[in-house]
Amino acid sequence: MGKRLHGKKVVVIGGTSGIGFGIAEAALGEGAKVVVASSQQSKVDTALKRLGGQSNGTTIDVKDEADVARFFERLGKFDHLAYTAGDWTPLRTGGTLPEIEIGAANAVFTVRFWGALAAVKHCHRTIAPNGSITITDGMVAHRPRKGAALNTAMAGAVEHLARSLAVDLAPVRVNAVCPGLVLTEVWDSMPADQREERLKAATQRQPLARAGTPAELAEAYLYLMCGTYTTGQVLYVDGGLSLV
Amino acid sequence: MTAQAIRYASGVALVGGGSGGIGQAICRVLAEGGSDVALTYNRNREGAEIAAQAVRDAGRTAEIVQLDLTDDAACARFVDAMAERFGGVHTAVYAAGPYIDMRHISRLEPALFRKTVGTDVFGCFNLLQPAMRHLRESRGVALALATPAIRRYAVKDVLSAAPKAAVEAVIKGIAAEEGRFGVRANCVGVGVITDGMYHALLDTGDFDDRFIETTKATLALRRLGTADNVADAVDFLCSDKAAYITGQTLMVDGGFAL
Repeated sequence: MGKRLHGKKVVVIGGTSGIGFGIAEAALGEGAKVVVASSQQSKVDTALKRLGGQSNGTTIDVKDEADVARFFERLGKFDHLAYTAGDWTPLRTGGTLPEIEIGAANAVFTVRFWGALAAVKHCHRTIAPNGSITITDGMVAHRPRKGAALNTAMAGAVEHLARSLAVDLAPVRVNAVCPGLVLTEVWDSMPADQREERLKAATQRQPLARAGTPAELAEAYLYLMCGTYTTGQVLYVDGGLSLV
Repeated sequence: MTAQAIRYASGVALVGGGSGGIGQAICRVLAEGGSDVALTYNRNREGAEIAAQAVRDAGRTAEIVQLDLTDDAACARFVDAMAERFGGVHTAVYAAGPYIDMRHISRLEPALFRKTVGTDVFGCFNLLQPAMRHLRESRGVALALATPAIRRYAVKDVLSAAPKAAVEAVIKGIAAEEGRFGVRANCVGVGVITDGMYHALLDTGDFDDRFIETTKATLALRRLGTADNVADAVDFLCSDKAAYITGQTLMVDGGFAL
């Protein structure tokens, strides 16, 4: 079977770690030229060393629209964009409603929502008409947790952004992936026994009672890049969490 | 060998309704992924032969069985016989669907509703239910075709939307109940495509130029799809590439359901 992304240029913002790195690896394996971008040069350097092959990388500050615009100007024409950039700090500093400071609340949206929007806005002149954009939300959109109202609202907003941009940007296809619990480097900082316990507790009620891997998530993004009649979809890669 | 080929290495993929335009494409992609295929047809022997030839062209074994999917006892015999012959069932795909008359509900005779819904819902159930114990053994995959009309209703399409909503509920049930045995189950929502029933619908006049143009205008992509587009999604969801995806309905509809 031929390589599905042969001759294509795939850009992964957030591609130096976690799900994004998995996408970069998988896209390279399918014959693509890959460009990874994230906020820190050291992470870009490490990722490129691990990726090898036809990969390139650069830093991007998705909080700065002008920097996002410059990134796409330098990049030139390309085929597929995957946006997986996420920051974890606002997730830990949520708070229940009385504690939410509305003025500060936007921090939750900065990278995952406004960053995605800036990327889509500034890529649309150079993305191929038969290309695709895939952005990323999270199961918190559908499984609200106490103290995470803003995160739920933000993740839901990302999904609806994908649905509406699919209408706006056609023939370019726009989809979202909604990951369940994924075993990324974020979990590395936790002691192993504690990690196992937390993962077990978090996944035991799921139909597939385990965490997903970045490689498994990556395949969903690759399908959405290659599935030429699929647009405006949110693909849940969650081990069935959304069912129960 | 890819992970996908390993899962397909022993046992067989069942394709209920492998003789239609979409079914043929599904048989082909499963075979290209390394799977033997046992496909059923009801009346379309010629279509079944085309599907089987595509499987053989991919270097795999094909078995064709005439089967009325509304006959539950015959379905159970078919499933068990194929499991016996191929050493297990790793995938079960419900790709059949009755011909859909397009009617307003106000003009739809209860008898036609009962027949069409029954054929589709029980056809799906009768194929997948006896396959479940085999899928547990293989930690396999169930898949059924559905329609985007279960998300966004299309006028005169109740004979498709109503049974496919039930099919989706059955698939979600399998996903929720069988996940602990390692079984996954998903749907693919089929938009308006230029294969399968499309030509029959043109012949009867249910689809005409005006309908096609109006339909295209409701699609984000402004174009119709193909059986291959659907088969690619089936291929993905049946493969180990989708090992963490279960209970989902992936629409291949050009953005119709938006």
